[in-house]
Amino acid sequence: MLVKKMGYKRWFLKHLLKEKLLSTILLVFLLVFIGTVSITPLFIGNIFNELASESSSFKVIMSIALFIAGAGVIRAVADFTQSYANEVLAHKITKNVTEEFYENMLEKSQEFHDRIRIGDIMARATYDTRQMNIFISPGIKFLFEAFFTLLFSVSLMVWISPKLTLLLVAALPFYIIAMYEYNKKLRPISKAQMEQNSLLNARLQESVTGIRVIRAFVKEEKEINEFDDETDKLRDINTRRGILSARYYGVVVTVLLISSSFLWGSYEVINGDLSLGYLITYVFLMMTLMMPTWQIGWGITQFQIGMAAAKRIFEMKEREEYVPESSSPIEWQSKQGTISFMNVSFSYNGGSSRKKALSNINLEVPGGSTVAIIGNPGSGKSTLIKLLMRLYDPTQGSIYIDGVNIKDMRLSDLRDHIGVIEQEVFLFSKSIRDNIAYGKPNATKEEIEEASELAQAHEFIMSFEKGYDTIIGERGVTLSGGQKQRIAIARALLVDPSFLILDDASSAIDAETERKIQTAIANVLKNRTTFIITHRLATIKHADLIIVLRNGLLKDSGFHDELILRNIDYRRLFERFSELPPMTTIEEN
Amino acid sequence: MSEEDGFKKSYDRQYGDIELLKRFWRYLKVYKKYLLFIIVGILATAVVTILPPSMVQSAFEALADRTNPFPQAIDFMPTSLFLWKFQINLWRAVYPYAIGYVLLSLFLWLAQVLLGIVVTIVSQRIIKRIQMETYESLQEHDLMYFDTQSTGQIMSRITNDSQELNDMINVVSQFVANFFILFAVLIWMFVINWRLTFITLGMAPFVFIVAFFFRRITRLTTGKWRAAIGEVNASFQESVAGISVAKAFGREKKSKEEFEVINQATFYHAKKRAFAVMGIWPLMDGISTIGVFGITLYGSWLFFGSLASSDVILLFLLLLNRFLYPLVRVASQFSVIQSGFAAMERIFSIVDAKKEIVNPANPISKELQGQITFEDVYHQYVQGELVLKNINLKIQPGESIAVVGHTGAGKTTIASLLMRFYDISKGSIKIDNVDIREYDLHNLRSQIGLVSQDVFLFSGTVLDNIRYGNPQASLSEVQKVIDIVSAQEFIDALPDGLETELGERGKGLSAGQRQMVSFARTLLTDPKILILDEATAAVDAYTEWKIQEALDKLLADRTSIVIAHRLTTIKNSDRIIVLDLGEIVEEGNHDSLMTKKGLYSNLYETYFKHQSAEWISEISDVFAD
Repeated sequence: MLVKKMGYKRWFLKHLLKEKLLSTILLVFLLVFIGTVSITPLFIGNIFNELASESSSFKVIMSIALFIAGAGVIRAVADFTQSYANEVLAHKITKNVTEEFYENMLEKSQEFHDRIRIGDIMARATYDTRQMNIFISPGIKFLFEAFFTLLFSVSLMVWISPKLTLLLVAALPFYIIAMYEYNKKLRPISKAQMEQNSLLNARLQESVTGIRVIRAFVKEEKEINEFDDETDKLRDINTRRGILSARYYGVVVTVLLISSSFLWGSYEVINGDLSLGYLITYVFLMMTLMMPTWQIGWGITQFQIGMAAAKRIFEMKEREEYVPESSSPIEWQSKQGTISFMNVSFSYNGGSSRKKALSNINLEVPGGSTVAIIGNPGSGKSTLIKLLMRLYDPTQGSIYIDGVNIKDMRLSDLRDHIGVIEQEVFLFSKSIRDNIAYGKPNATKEEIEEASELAQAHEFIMSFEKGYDTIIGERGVTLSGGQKQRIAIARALLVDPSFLILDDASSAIDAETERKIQTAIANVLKNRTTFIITHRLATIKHADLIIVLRNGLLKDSGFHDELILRNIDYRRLFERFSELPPMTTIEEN
Repeated sequence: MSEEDGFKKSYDRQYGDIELLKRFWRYLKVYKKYLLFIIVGILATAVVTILPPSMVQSAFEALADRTNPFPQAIDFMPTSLFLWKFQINLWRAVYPYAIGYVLLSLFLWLAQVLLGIVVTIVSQRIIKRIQMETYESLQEHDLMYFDTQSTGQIMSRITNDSQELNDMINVVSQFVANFFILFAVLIWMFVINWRLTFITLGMAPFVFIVAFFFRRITRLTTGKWRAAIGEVNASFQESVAGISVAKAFGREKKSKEEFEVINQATFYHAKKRAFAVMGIWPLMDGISTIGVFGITLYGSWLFFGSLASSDVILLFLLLLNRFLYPLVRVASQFSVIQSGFAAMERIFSIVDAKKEIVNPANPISKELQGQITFEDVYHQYVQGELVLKNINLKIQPGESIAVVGHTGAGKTTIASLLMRFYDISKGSIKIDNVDIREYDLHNLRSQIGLVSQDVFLFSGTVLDNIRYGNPQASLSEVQKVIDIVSAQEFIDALPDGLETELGERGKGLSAGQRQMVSFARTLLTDPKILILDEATAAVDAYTEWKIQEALDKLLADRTSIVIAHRLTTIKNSDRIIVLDLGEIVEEGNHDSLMTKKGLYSNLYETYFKHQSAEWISEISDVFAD
């Protein structure tokens, strides 16, 4: 690995530098702004010098005052421009980062999403991006302002009185040490703060989505107590941070600096080394230094927080857990639709899981056939399907469609051609129409209704007041399980895929509807390969191929008539309902 | 879309500023001691703030006075190498002010540090309290609330808005401090030179007009911006939750496009807000410059007319910032306070959202026998859409009832109503002849076990999840329920057995496994009444059959309501209730209902028959090529 991986700092910088125009505007107007800020005390000092001189005239003073006013106007305009540019820059970057993060999250593998809590992702998408935003605006502006104010004001001060400025330079090390100390103490607190925030988010999320269970088990108090503990922790961390910030507020060094320069300045005036007017200029310049000391403190704090946030976003983004796209994909050209599994093994958690979800699966499915997969919960049925859809890649072995390894295909090609009716139907909080058209957004009204008819969903959809425009509540709460399933079927049918996966989708649908749906599917999917995971015995019985899984092993495969005679797992399914002929072979376990 | 929005908003309320303030005071007044300290600190700071400029002024006055007479006789200062006698004298006149300036500055610094610490402590405690109150009220809200509000929005209120409120508290303390400083400076200025004071005061109206104007825009644009952020979050959240669907349909690209639109809208509102928020300071700064201009010009005019000395002009220049700065702050902090108020409004909306399902005034707590009566029960979730009509039903203790009917007939609603997740629209539901609305909610729910079709598991171990309702249960008790639901086999197969950590919502288990865990979880609470709402729909037929066998013993002395689409479950029950379009149309046992040739026999033909062997051969025609 010679290619050096980009760190989060470079990633952040890249985003920042991408907005060249805004950054330039910010920098240019910031310089103008600081310039006018620093120059004003000079004018004021001159006024007093003028007042003190014997030949003072109002006319001269007026012209100086006009300079002050002119500088003021320029200052206000420049300040607005730079602040606005800064704020827009911050939001632009936030927008870009959120988008990048969002896209990245969509690309992440199913395994990633199975393991990472939504709350955790959301904390990064919301809280962390906000912290980055605040660091950019006003954080970056503050730091730059502080730097240039120091530069400009101190230069002027040196010009007015190098000796006095020596004092400032002497104080600088103390100042730097104080800031360094602050930094060091702040870092762990910021980190803890963000982690606690993330934790709290995840908890909150869970208790909102799981509210029914909490109610049913009367666990409100437990949840409240736990939340209480978590918020306690957050409060303590926040308080610690607040106290730390207060302790370093304005750093005592600065205060001493301003006042002692005043002390020494007076001495210089008495000595005749400094004019009275320039002492005033000096004092006013010192005052312009007040703001930077505060800005530096604040800016550094937010820098810490912002960079920690950037790091968290970046790290989650960089986890290489997406299913990799082939660099030279083979064009989709499936004809027969024959699917073969060759020595496929898989275990979750990147292969580190103790148990293999699937081991050594060899399977050949001729195109156009219907395959029923049966097995106990956890036997690997769903995993088999997930591998076929490339939600995961096998830990070992390969899967082929018409002889082409699915890893060599374009992901989008593969998934475009596989229709899915999921076990747990997830519907989006959009209209029913949008949900059905999810896989084919440009579908016509007729197509959508046809698919719904086939899925036996049209009738109940029309029974809603708003028909297809009915908005589905979050996570589909307002629809019954059977209705959700039928919408999912319509959704899959509309895409008209080459392969169809039915994962236990028919369990809550009555037989009549199911018969119709299966008739529809049977018609639509002639010459298409279908995988069915179901408890419906009729469906299983009539499959072209039945495969029996147990604990991740392919125990048996064949027709109903063969399996009923030799496979104990298969017999169990039918035993309750009918007399079976005696087994012909004794299965070894 | 619009109706949906309208529906959501019905839980939100508008609050007056006074009402919000009063409400906020309730949190503040707990910390009276701290508040006293803060106020005293602020007052002291205000007074001290005006002193350093007068130190400078006095020193300046002395320095400018070149006519200072020659020194008095005694002089303890060393006759230095650097200073002439008159200079020593001058130095004596100046240095007390310079040292005074140093000391005052130190005092100010110290006061600010202490105030900062105390304010942090108080604000953090208040935020914590508000968060807890919000959370507690969430735990009490009607389920209808969660049905209509999106998770993202609720979360944003507890996390983002409370942060906003925290900012506000910090700002308020500064606000008060600035207000005091403002008055102290004003009085001081009047004492020194009333003419110049008017110049300074002349700035005030401009500051206020600008502040008022910007305050309004800020509040408006901030509200829109926040709402847009809420939408981005909700969309993000949903996309992540539905990621497997997006992947299955290859919809990533379209989702991205949709997200970009929402994200772009947020950016647009952020820009508008930035204009308002960023505009205020430079404008104020411009006004302040006019002040400097005015003071120098008018001051010099007065100087030449001998109405003001140059040191007074200096003092006013120094005071100008100490007057305008707090004024600008006071004015601009309005916007922070305004967004704080908006945040408060949103938070209190959660706390105050109408709760319909609450404990009665004199709640009844007792052990249930399990007799359930539905009397003329009507229910609707949405106005005008009756889900249940005229339900009359009496279930004896220990009886096992099966509820069957088409999808959408209202079966699940019966379960939800019995749990009092929703209150019925008309009629009454009684348990042991007492209306369930008279029971203590917790007492009621803890004795009814609901295994619902929509399984929700928590992140944590499998064991934690099974013990969720009964954390004290012993391992042998846990083992018992695991055996009943036949979960041993798959638990053994998990990487760490019972101690296997599950992800959010029970990620890591299949739907069937989750249902088994959920079933075990309910059984462990040993409920008097058990509701099984398609409890084993995702479990395979064989396992379900085993569970059914084990359940028969368990259900003997419990009242149970079984909503099922499986034949065996229904046949085993004492009585079958047939629901159609929210009404009970038939009642009886399997055989009697079959002979009736009504809806049940019809349902049997369509729903359950296909689970029997005969049907399997019958359906062959569908699959015939």
